[in-house]
Amino acid sequence: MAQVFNRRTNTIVRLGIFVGIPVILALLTATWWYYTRSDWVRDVGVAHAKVQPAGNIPGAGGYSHQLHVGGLKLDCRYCHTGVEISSNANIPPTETCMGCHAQILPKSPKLEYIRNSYEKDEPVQWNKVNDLPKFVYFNHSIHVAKGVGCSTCHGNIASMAVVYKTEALYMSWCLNCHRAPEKFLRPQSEIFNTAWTPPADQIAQGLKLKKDLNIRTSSQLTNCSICHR
Amino acid sequence: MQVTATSLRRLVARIMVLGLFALFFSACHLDMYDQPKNKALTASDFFANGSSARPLIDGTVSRGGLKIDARTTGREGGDPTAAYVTTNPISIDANVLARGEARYKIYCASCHGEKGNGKGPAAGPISKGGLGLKMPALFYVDQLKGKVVANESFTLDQAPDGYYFNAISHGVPNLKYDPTKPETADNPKYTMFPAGFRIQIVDDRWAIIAYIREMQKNPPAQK
Ligand code: HEC
Ligand code: HEC
Ligand code: HEC
Ligand code: HEC
Ligand code: HEC
Ligand code: HEC
Repeated sequence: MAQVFNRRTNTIVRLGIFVGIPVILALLTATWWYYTRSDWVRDVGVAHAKVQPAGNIPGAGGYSHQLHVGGLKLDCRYCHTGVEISSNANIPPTETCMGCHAQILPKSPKLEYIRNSYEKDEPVQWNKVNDLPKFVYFNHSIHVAKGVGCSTCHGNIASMAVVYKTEALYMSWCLNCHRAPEKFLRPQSEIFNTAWTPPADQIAQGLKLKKDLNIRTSSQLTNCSICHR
Repeated sequence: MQVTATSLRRLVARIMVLGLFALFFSACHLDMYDQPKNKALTASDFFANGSSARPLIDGTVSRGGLKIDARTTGREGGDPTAAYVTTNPISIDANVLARGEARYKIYCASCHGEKGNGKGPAAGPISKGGLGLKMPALFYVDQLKGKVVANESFTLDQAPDGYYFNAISHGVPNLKYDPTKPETADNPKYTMFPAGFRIQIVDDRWAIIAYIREMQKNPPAQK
């Protein structure tokens, strides 16, 4: 039988094996990494902040944590009333803003949308920044009660003119802490301090807190049904 | 084993099939990420005001919440026309006071000041980022002398606990309120914090009041 392939084919096949396949594998790995591990696809960082109803330009009418929390020293719970008692942290209703803004800047065009919402009884439609898939069960109250502070998951909110995501919220990120919470735990008095930094002996302190707070073992906390119910 | 053209072709075919499998294992699942169910505060185009949550019908009472007494209204016997209660209806101990202090710092200190002197960060002049309002210094009796409370005959330091409870729960009574007209946005019965902060746990409000009373008795040192 005559040769089907001529000699040149060997080179093509070698190229295919030694270059083509690695390139395809690398591409597959990169795609997999991009969609399941990277921050880029998850809108992390200030450059990808969600646009809110009044726009995102500080000083143009958007709600700013920098001004209200950093400047006026409001406590998170003044507005996010559910954070200690419920799974949902709660976004404040218009009445909470109007409690002050009925008198402060009462005529400002920047706050037109707040007054409209109040008068027409139509909620302001804030865009959700941190958004878990609907098949995940998350609960704020347990984390706040067991020594996980806001800034571990949301970054230094008090310095943000516009809220943005600081974590990509992958399952691996949740598990990373559920396996070893001592790396992140802080004393109860620091939970709402957004500028908290871990002390030098964090692990020792964390282990002590973990014991005091009766936090369960890593195998219990990584049980699928904790987060997928 | 000798590498023949056929075995090579098979190998290539296998790799391609594996590649296809890899595709099956990844992505294409976004329908479970965004299920058509509503979580808390989800928007909805079904209702006119864009909210998926429905407002409570007037008079709704939560299960087990039907208790109209001094504790839930701040009035004697829970009667809305009766006198304000003068004593705190919850029993006060060190824990309640500590709770009251913590809650005071969350909800009141930004305006009334951590030491109750009306110098909270949000209270100052507008030029310094404050509310530009004259703040009542709630807790120092000599500063309160002679300041008669809106619509009432007592001064703030003499005000009964029930009066404080109403201020926290509804706001400060509106001086210009016209009782002959219906209560509307233009004719509010209360000003300042219109349902402003929702201190949902009723006992927390009493704990705050207990703490304020404690501050009035032993004013914290001013610097
Ligand atoms: C404790 C009182 C308080 C509450 C509650 C409050 N604000 Fe403010 N807000 C202020 C003060 C004080 C300023 C600064 C006013 C100034 O700069 O003259 C301000 C300024 C603003 C501004 C103008 C910023 C600019 O561009 O100059 C906006 C917009 C605003 N607030 C939105 C909101 C919204 C939305 C809410 C509700 C989620 C809210 N505020 C709740 C006190 C409050
Ligand atoms: C005066 C009211 C107010 C206070 C005080 C406040 N927030 Fe907010 N917060 C809001 C409003 C309104 C939004 C929704 C608008 C937005 O996302 O910018 C919000 C949004 C957020 C979000 C993003 C929610 C999402 O969509 O995922 C986070 C996280 C957050 N706040 C954390 C905090 C923390 C932490 C503190 C305390 C350090 C705090 N907030 C204090 C009013 C407040
Ligand atoms: C363990 C991490 C973690 C901690 C700690 C945490 N959050 Fe969150 N937060 C999240 C996640 C995850 C979401 C998104 C929840 C969702 O989409 O269902 C979220 C959402 C929010 C929202 C949007 C409303 C909601 O509930 O979906 C607000 C507001 C908020 N957080 C405020 C806070 C405040 C204030 C604190 C501190 C007291 C805090 N968070 C602590 C992880 C955390
Ligand atoms: C920085 C640490 C940390 C991160 C990040 C974190 N958790 Fe947790 N989580 C904890 C701790 C600590 C507890 C309390 C465990 C206990 O009480 O035994 C907890 C408890 C929980 C519980 C309650 C368990 C129960 O039995 O009811 C749920 C649900 C949960 N976490 C979900 C999540 C999800 C979903 C994420 C990711 C979006 C997440 N957590 C991220 C530390 C963390
Ligand atoms: C600490 C909380 C937590 C635990 C425990 C947990 N998960 Fe998850 N899981 C998540 C979160 C958060 C996501 C969403 C990640 C995302 O947004 O991509 C998720 C997503 C998933 C997905 C969908 C992934 C995708 O890309 O569609 C699967 C499948 C899954 N989890 C399976 C499991 C299994 C199996 C277990 C038990 C071994 C488990 N999970 C335990 C938090 C958890
Ligand atoms: C946004 C700023 C602000 C916050 C927060 C605030 N107050 Fe006030 N409060 C005021 C102002 C302004 C007045 C004066 C109103 C007036 O004289 O018309 C006032 C008046 C009062 C009065 C006197 C009412 C009267 O008839 O003169 C009481 C009592 C009171 N506040 C209690 C509280 C308590 C308790 C809290 C915390 C739960 C609180 N306030 C939080 C701004 C605030």
